[in-house]
Amino acid sequence: MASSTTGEKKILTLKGGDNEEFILEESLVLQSELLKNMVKEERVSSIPLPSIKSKTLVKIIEYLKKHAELTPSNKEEFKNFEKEFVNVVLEELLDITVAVNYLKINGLLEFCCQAVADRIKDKSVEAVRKIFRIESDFTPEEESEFRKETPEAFEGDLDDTTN
Amino acid sequence: MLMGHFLNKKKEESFFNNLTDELLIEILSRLPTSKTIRCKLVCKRWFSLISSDYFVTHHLKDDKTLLPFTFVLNAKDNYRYVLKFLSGNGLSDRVDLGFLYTGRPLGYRISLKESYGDLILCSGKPSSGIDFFICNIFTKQWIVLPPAPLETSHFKENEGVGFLIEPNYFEYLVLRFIPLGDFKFNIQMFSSEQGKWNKLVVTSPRNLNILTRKTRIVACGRMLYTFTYKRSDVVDCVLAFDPFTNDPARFLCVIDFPPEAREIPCLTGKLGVCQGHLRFAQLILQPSGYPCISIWELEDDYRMGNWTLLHKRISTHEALRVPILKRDTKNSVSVLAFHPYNKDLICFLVGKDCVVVYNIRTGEVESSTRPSLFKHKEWPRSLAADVGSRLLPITQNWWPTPVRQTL
Repeated sequence: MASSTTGEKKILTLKGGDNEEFILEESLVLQSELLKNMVKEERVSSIPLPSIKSKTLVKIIEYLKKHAELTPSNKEEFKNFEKEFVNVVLEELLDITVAVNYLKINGLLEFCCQAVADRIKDKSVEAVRKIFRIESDFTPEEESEFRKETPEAFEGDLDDTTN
Repeated sequence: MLMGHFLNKKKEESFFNNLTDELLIEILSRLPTSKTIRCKLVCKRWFSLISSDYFVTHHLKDDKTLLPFTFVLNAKDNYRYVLKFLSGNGLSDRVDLGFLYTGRPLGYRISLKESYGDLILCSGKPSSGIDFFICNIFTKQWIVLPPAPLETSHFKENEGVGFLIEPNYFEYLVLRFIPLGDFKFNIQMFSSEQGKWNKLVVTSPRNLNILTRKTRIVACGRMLYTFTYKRSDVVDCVLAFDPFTNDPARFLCVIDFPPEAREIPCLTGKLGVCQGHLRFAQLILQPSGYPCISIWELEDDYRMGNWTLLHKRISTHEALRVPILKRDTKNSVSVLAFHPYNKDLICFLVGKDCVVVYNIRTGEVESSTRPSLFKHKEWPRSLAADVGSRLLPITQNWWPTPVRQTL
């Protein structure tokens, strides 16, 4: 299947999890290693991404556009955009991070991972479990022993919120 | 394929299914170390991820120059194991090579021969030839080469093995160096591209003085290097092998050491690699009775034989800040390795068990540890004496080098 073209620019359709379609220039998605390979090797013009929520996809496309416009002169503006970009509730940030990892957008992945790390670094163990939807599989004995062995890791005020 | 697999997942599950170990490590490795300890308690999966070598080294991935020196050596008490330890914290553990023994007869022994990056080369000896194994001890991936034919040589003790990977084509190369006399040696060479052992007889333009001292064969770039001694305490020259050349005349090249290294009696010499360059460290005894070290680097065009002196006569006694008894000075200091990525760091073994990382630029000792493996109760005293010469440096890569049959 050949990509449809308008003038010189190739157009590509991404289909989000809720079947919402996003039409964008093919050049934009080349920042994603995954999509780049699909476009180059399989010559597709429409790519379904059912595991990525449309809301997440909107954010990622927004980033791709901004990143494509990045020049040495608007570097500061881009940095501010990046900061705002990850300023969302943690659940959404994790969705974005997982999607970016899947799409293999390397620069953005590093930025997202750092943002997640910054957000969870002062959280309590219980809060981290909730955020990542993890049930503890330690016995209470194992847990209290661990806390006893490394008391310094549990000192100070820890944040119990999940946002 | 990948897409199909992905499509089948339920939407709600996708988050967990795609939060892979790799992605978790990407996130957790960006936490300050003290915070990662707390995260170990989240669940057992996180606990084992954060405790893994993979994580520990990835934690420092942004700056490879900070990676600890890592060494492996045969556990002499039990050939099934390879001991591995890190400089800095001295942490050591045993890597079980049991998987290499599957299907091998009782009494089969596999021993560590060489290292290249994060791979090790081991040999095992059945009756009809010699098996060589290439193995990544981090991923436990391995292959075995077709047996190398047995060669009769009067100088078995002086056989050497070199090992490298051609990075562009991912071709393995194992080279056995079998001396036949002072000017002649056999080379058995296995290349994964050809899938077989080839033999060539090489005549050296220089007396190899093969019985003088055994030296290792070091891989650097696409070349293998070793060096010879003129006398037991005087170095002579570097032998550079180009295993990829088609021109027999270019296979072996003799490179003289710089005159100041050749003209002085030394305790020991060591070839190693740093940032892809060949380095030579030489320990000599000062009139004061303490050893000192000089370091040279071979310039890019090796055939020109130009050496750059990086460091001249650092007194190891003062620099390493480890008390050395004057009467043991001869065996008291040896160079274990140059840091693979940091041009300033050198790792020394001082005395019998002290591993010191020294910064030749700042003159500071970066770390000084006594790895627990040297205290191993099964470790025979007689072997502890030459432990320095049997340690092989390895690197820990974020992406472990895959091991696959490329025949």
